[in-house]
Amino acid sequence: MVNNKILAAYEKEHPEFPKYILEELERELGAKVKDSEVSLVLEKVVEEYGRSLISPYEAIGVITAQSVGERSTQMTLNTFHFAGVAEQSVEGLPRLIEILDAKKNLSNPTMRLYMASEKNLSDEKVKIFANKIKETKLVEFATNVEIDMEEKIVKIDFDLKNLKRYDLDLESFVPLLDKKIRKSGSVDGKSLLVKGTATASMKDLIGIKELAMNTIVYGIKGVSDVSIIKEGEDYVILTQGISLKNVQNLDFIDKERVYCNDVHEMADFYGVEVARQTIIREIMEVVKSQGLSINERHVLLIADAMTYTGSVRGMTRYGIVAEKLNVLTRASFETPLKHLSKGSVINEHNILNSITENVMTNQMVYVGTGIPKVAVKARDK
Amino acid sequence: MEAWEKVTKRISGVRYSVMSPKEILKQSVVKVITPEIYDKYGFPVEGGLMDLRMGVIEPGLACKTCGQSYKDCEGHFGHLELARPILNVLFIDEISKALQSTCQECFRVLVSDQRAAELVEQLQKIRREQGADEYIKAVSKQLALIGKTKVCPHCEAEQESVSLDKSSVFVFTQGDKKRLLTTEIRFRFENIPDSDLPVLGLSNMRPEWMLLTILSIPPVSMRSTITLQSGQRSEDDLTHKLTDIIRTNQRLHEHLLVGVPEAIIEDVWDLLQYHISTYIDNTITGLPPARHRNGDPLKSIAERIKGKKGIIRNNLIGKRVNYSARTVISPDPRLKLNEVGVPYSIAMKLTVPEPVTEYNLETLKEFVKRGPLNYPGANYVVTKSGSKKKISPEVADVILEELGPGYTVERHLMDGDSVVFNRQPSLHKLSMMGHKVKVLPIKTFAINPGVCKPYNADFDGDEMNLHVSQTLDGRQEVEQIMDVKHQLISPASGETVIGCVQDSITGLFILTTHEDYSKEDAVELLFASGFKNLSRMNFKKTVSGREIFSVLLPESLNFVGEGKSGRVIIENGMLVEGVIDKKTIGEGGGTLLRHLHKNFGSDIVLQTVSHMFNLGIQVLKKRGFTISMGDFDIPKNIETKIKKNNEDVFAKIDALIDEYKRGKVAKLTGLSAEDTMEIKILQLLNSLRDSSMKLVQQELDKSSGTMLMADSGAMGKVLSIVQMHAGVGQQALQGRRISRGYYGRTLSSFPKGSLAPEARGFITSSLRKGLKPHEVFFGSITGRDGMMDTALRTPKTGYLYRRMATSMLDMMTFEDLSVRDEEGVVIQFRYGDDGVSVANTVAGHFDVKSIVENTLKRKN
Repeated sequence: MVNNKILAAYEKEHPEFPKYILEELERELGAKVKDSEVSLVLEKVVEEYGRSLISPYEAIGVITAQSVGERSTQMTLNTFHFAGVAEQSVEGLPRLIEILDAKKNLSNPTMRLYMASEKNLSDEKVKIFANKIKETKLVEFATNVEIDMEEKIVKIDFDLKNLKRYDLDLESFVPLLDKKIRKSGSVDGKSLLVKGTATASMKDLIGIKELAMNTIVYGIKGVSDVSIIKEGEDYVILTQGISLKNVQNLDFIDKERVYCNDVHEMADFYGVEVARQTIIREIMEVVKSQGLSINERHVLLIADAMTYTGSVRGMTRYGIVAEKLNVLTRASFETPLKHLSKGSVINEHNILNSITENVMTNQMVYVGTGIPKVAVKARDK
Repeated sequence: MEAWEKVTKRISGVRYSVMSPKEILKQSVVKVITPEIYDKYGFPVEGGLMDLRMGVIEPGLACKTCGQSYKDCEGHFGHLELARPILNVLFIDEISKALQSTCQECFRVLVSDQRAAELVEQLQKIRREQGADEYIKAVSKQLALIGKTKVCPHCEAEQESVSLDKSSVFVFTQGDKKRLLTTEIRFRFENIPDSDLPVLGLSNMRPEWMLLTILSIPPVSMRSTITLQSGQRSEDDLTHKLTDIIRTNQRLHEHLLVGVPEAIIEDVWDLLQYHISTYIDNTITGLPPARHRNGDPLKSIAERIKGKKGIIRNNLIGKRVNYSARTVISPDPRLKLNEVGVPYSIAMKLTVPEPVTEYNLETLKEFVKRGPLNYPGANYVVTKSGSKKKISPEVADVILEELGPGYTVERHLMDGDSVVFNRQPSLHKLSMMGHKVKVLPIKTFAINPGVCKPYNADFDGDEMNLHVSQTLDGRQEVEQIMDVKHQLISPASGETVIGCVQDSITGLFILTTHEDYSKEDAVELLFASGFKNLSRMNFKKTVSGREIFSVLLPESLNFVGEGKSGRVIIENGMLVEGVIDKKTIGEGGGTLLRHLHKNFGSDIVLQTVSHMFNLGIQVLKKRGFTISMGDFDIPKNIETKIKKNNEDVFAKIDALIDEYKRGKVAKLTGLSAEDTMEIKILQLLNSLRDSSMKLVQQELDKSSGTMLMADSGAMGKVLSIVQMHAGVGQQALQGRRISRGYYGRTLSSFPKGSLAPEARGFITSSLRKGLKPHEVFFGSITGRDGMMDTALRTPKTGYLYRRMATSMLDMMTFEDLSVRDEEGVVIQFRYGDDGVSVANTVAGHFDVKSIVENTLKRKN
C-alpha cells in the first residue's frame, strides 16, 4: 500500500502495475517531496518499467533452464550436516536435484517450528518443549530389563520419578505396547510386564523385548532429533524428521509458521500454492548457500512449471517430460521406442508446434524471431 | 533460383500408426524370395536383399524402380512373406494386454457392452483433456482390471489366464503351462470385433497387425554395403540379420510343405521369432543378443534409434554443419571485445555467399579474379540454375564472362563479417555469441581476454568453433541479437559478464590509488591505450591517476558504488573518491560497468572497457610490475607471534580434549559430546586462521606485486598468501576434520585415539618452508576429494540440465507478458510476477533508486 496520493491514484488506475515498485518509489522519495517531483519521477519510472519488460516470444523456458543449469555446474557435490547445527549444514547440488525431482524421501527432512509467542520463553522452557517433539523410545526410560523364561515374561523396570518429569505413567505405555505386541502386558509397581505366548522360546522373548524397547512412548513419531536455534527474538525448534499432522496438536508452537522442507508434505497439508512457495524458498536457499547469483524470476518459473497443473511434478521422465503432449519430444528425451510404439497404437496425431519436433523436421521453430512474418499489402488491381 | 523465390511447404503435423500388411505390400516393390545377395559375377540377385529395385548404392548403376542414380534414389521398400505369424517385440505389452482382456471363446472384450461404452467415453475424455500419456496410463489401468475377469460376460465361457513366459512365448498360467501358439493368438485377434477395439486402447488399427505376417524389408540405402580397401564387400548388420530371417523362413516354409512333425516346425518357428525379434531390438532382456561370427553383438533397428548415438539424438536433434572452423584460441587484448581474430588459412576456406547485383558486380569480379588462392578472393560461384562451380585459374575467365545478377559469389571471409563463435560445453546462450571477424596473420583464433568469462575459456589449449551464417536472415540475427555487445548482461543474474581481467585490473588499481603523472606521461598513457579524445583532460603540470582514469568516462556519468575497499564515487565523469578494482570493472558483476550499460548503452560499455583494459596494461608497462619471493618475507617478530598464537590455541584445544575425555564437555543442544567438541575445535582453528590472516595482512608490504594483485582482485587471495607463510591450516573432509584411516587414528605415526590438531589434518607448516610428510598426506586427501567432486559433478549436473531443458524448452513469453507452453497452456500469468526481464534489471532489481536520483539530481 502506498500513502502518497499521486502514487495511490496511479495504483488505483493501473492495478496491473507492480506494487513493489510503487512502494519502493515512495520509500526512495521520502516524506519531504513536492507533488511535481513525484509526478516527474513516476513518469520516468513508468517509462523505465515499460522498457524493462520482457520481449514477446522470448524462449524463457530455455533461458531459465540455462541460467540454473549453467550455475549448477559450480555447485559443490558434498552435503554434510552437523546434526542439528542448522547454520553449518551445507547442501549443494544433491539437494537441488532432490527439489527439482520432487523426491518423496528426503535425505535431510526438517521442520522449522516457531514458538507460540505469548509465553515467557526461556532456554529451559524451550528445551522441554523440544523434548516433547522428539520421539523417545521406551528404552530411554527403562532402568533394567529381565527375561523370565519360566513365566514367559519380560520385565522392564522404570524410574518413576523420571517418568513423572515427562508427565508419563506406566499405564499409558500398555496400549502402545498392545498395538505392537499382541497379548502383552500389565503394570506391576514400578515395572512393566510383557507376556509372551506359552510356547515362546528364548529367541521369541528376546524379540519381544526388542519390540518393547523400541516402542515410541513419547514425542512425535518420525522426529529423530531436535535442536534449538534463536532467530533474533524468536526461538525456533529444528527437527530431523517430518510430521506436519502431529505437530498441529501441540499448543506451544505457532501453527501459522510451521514449515518443513518436504514439498510433497507441504502440498498434501497446505495445498499446491504452498508447495510452490516451498520450492521457491528451498531452491533459493541452496542458491544462496552456494554463493551463486541466480535471479528469483528463474526459480519462480521452475516452481510454476512444477506445480501449474495443480499437483507437484518433478522434472523427470515420469514427471513433466512424460506429460509433454507430443510424441517426438518425449521420444527425444528418453526411451524413444516406447513412446513411438505406444503413440502408433493409439494413432496419435501431433501438430508440429514444439521446438524439438520442428528441429527434427528441419523447419523454422515457432519461437523468437521464428514467429513474426512480413506482411505485404497487395497492390490494388 | 533465389531463396525467397522457393516455394517451401511446412509439415504441419505427424500421425503415428501401425502399418497393416496391406500397406506394407502396397509400398513394396520387391518380393524378397532368396537369401542369396550376389550372383557369381558379383551382381545383385533378383529377388535377393540387394535387388536393384530396392535402390542402388553403387555409382554407375540405375535404380530399377525410379531410374535414378545412387545419389538421387532414396530407396524403396521390399517385403518378405513369412511362413507363419511372428510377434512384433515392440508391441509385446499391447499384445499381452489384448490377450488377457479378450474372451478365448467369443473373442469379445471381457466387459459388458454397456460398461464398455462407458469406459470408452471416460477414456476419450481423459485423452481430450489430459493428453495422450494420461490416456495410455488410464487404458492400461483399465485393461489390468478387465484382465482379471474370470467369466466372459458375453458367452459366459470360463477364462484361462495367459501370461508372457519368455520374451516372446505366451503360456497358460494354469496347469502344465501349455503354450499359446502365435497362430492361435492371431486367430483370436482376427476375431475381435472392431467395435471392441477402443476399449483395448487401439485406434485406427487391427490387433492382428501387431503380429507380423509380412515383413517389410528396408531399402538398400538404409543398410548400405561397405567396400573394404581389399575390394571385399562387407554387408550391414541389418542385411546379415535379414539373410538369417529369410533362410529360416525358407526352411520353415519347406517343413510346412513337406509335413514335418509339429515339434520340429515349432523349433524352426521359434528360431524365426528369435531372428526377427533381435532384428528389431537386440537389447531385449532375457533374450541372448544375436552376435557376429567374431562375437560382437549385431546392431538392431532399435539401437539405431535410441541413445546418445541413435538417430534421434545424434542426427535429428543435433546436426552437423558446414561452414565452420575449429582451432586453438589465444588472447589478444588489442582486439575489441566483439571481435575475433581469424587466421588467413581459415578465412580462405570459409566463405560468405554474396548475391551478385549490378551494383556490386565489379567488386565481386575482382574477388573471382583473385580466385581461391589469393586473399581476399572467392572459392565458388553459384549459377542462376543453382549449380555450384569451383573457381580455378583455368575456368576463372569463363566464369568472369558469364557472371551477372542472379549469380552468387562465395567469397572469402573478410574483416567485419559477423560470425558465431562458440566454446563447448555450451551451457548457456552466452556460449555462442556473434563476433566480428578480423583476419590476422596468425595460426589460431584470437579473442579479447575480457570475453573469456561467458565462454568459460582460458588459453591453456582450449579450442573454439566458428560458424559462418549462409543466409541474410541468419547474418542479421548474428549481428543484431547474438553479437557480444547485445550479450553484455547475463540473463541469469542481470549483472555484466564481461569486464577487465588480470593485469588491466592491477594497472587500474595502481593508477587510481596514488600515482601522480606528469602531463606528458598522462597523454602518452592515454594515447597508447587507443584513446585520442583528450578534451576532458586537465592539462596541469601533474595529473593524478584518478584524473587520467576519468578521461575515459562519459562526462555525465554519476555513480556511487562499493569497491573492494570502500566507496567509489564518480561525479560528472570524475572519479572523486575510491579506488577502481575488480568489483567495479571486473568481469562477472562489475558494478560500474552495469551502471554504464544502464545509462549509456552497450556501445559505450564496449568502448570504455576496451579503453580501460588497455590503459591498465599501459600503466603496468610504464611502471613495471613483478612479484618475487621477497614479497612473502615477514618480520621475525610476526613469525614468532603467529607461532605463539598457534601454541595458545593448541593448548586450549588440548584442554578441550581433556575435558571431553573426562566427559565434562557442556553439550550443545541436540549434539553429542563428540560433535560439540569437534565444533568447538573447528571454531578455535578458524579463529586461529583469521588472526594469522590479520597479522599477515597488517605486516605485508602493500606495494608489493603480490599484494597489489590480491588487493585489486586481479589474481590470488590474501588467504593463499597466508597459507604460503603462516601455515596451510585445517584440511577438512566433508565439513569435518580428517578422522578416517587406521583404527582410532589417521596415520600410524600418531598415538591411538589422538584428537590433537596435527593428528586430525591440521597443517602447521607453511607452503614456503615446506610440509612435513604427514601434512603432505593430509593435503593430498583434500586434494583428491576435490578432484572427485568435480569428476562426479559434471555428469550429474549435465543430466539435471538436460531434464530441465526438455521440461521447459517450449515455454515462451507473449505480448501480454504471460508464459505459455507450446499448446498455449498458461504457466505464469505474468513472467516473474512483474513481467520484467532479468537482463533489464540491475543485478535482479528494477532499479527505482537510480531513477529517483537521476531525475531529481539527488546525491547521497
